[in-house]
Amino acid sequence: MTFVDFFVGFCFLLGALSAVVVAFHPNILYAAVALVFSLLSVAGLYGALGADFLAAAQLIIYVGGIIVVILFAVMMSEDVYKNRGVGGWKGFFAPFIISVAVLWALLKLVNQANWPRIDVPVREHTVEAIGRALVGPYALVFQYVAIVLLAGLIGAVVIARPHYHEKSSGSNLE
Amino acid sequence: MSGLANNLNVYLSLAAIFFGLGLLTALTRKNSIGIFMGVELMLNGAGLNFVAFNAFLKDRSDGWLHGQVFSLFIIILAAIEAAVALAIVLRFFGSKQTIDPDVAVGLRG
Amino acid sequence: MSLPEFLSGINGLLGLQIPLLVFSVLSAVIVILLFAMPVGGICTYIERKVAADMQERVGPNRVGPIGILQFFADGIKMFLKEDTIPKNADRFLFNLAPSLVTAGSLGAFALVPFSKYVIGADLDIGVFYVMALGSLVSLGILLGAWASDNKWSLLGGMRGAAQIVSYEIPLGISVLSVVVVSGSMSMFGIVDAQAWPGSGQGGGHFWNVFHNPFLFINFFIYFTAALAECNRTPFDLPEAESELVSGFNTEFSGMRFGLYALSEFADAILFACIATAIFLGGWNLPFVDLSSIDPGIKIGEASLTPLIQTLLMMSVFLAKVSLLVFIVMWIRWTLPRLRVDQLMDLCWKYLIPISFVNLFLAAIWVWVFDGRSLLQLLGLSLGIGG
Repeated sequence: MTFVDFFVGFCFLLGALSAVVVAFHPNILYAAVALVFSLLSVAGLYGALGADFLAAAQLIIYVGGIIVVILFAVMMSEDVYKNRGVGGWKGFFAPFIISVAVLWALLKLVNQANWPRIDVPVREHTVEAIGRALVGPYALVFQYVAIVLLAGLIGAVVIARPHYHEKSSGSNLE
Repeated sequence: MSGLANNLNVYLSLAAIFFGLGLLTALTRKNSIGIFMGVELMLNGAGLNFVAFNAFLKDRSDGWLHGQVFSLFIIILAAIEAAVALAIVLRFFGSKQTIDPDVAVGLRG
Repeated sequence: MSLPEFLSGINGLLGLQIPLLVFSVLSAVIVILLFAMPVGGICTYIERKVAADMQERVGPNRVGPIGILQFFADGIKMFLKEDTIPKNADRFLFNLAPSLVTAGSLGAFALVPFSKYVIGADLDIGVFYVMALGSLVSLGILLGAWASDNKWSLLGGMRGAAQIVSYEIPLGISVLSVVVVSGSMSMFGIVDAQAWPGSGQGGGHFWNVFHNPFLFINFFIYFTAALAECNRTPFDLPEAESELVSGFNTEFSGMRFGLYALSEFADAILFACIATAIFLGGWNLPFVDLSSIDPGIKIGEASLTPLIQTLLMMSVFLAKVSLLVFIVMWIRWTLPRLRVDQLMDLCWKYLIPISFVNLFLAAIWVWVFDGRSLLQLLGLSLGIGG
């Protein structure tokens, strides 16, 4: 058992445990914190698979961006925190069955399939290769994503900003 | 079996767990932000799958980074999704004082 | 070096397996105790002395000669203070938050290239990784603020997180312009490209600040954004004592407060280190090439040259860092604090557009002049060096 093996095992356990917490913890804030740890474990596994650029991107975009925004949303609206999130057994039973079935099917597939694969993953320098891929074969997709990002940001601003024709209580526009 | 790090099934299993539990979260939470977190979990499972398969890819004749690039696009799209979804949630909270998605039935005929 | 290479490097270095966990935990503790604590402590002492000088006071002068042992007394006080947790606080998050903040600021030090031979890990994605670890800090601040169950803390934490998330953009863009010029994200590669042009074989393009006018402007954008990232005046709104008691760390006492204070100084030093490495040439000096100095002193068989070079390079690097840290303290005791709207205006209306334009123009410069710096172009036109 080498250090990388230990690292991968640790990330696996951390990810699985925190995903369980995300799914079942009644307190939405704890679920968000657990989501942080599951995202961190994915970043760790990206690192172990040789995708170091992706690992850093995962950290900077998910942990630094998305999670902070989620926490903001959780903390800004009291209802979010009070809303315990999980309904009674009535609303829980059917989704639980479906999810467990999906999980079971996926795990069975993973363990039974015989993928055409190599024994030791390739772990090479990825930064330059990703850069070349983004301006080479994926140039069009890259530009498209940029436009989607711009449109999404403008859309978010338009949705979130106060509508001036509404009778808002005046001074909270700042 | 050559150690955990070189075992493809470890990565795929974690991705499957993420997907299953993310689905469960998205289906059971009575809270828009909880649902959103479930979706993030599922997206991460998919991204992990892409990167894992990419690392163990056998046929590398035309480049070998397609999985990583796809995963990168998933991360970018998740960021856009976060911005738009949370804007909608905040707007909804502003008008209904709740974020229970069951209340959002204004479009039902 | 990619991340798995680094990990297996650790493995190869020690030839150990499971005891490695014990070892890494121990070494982390040792690093914190032996390096971070004294440096953070000395920084508090220097900060107080600088503040006193600015205000024509004496400053700490009781413990030891000219008060030099003050930080030691402060540290003991920090350890011995009663460690309180508010009754309604969220205990788990309250304990977690300071460690997240500390991990974020200390973890990035592994990437700082102190000299040609002293660098913890020279990753391919060096600067990117440093910025990624910085995101843990905003998370820690936000969670700690929430866990305190105190309205001042929460307001401070919200301000802190919003500020860090916003200022990460100009910071990242100005770093990106350096990456465009250097063609590398590894810290070592970036520093190594900044050697003095004429000297030695190849030579570099000298400090990135003077590479072209756009990078010169981006250096100041980086510095401003870095001040905001580590919550230093004039951007210390998250802990504005006249409005928010003490901001996000109001409820923290004892060693937890110590961790917050430590990571604030560690952040300031870290950003000074990064600025030195990517803009101010790291260990490179004008006119001389430190790696070609060979005094030829030997002890028996072993040559002392690498050791002497390392010491020279480290002292050059640390001199630049301490100059920057001094400027940070100077600014703190000179400028008043911004208002929240001014803070956001500065970031979104000025820094981000300017840094984007600079990034674009720097890329065009690299394309037109084939990556040569202003100095190299001057040298070419005068017919020397280059």
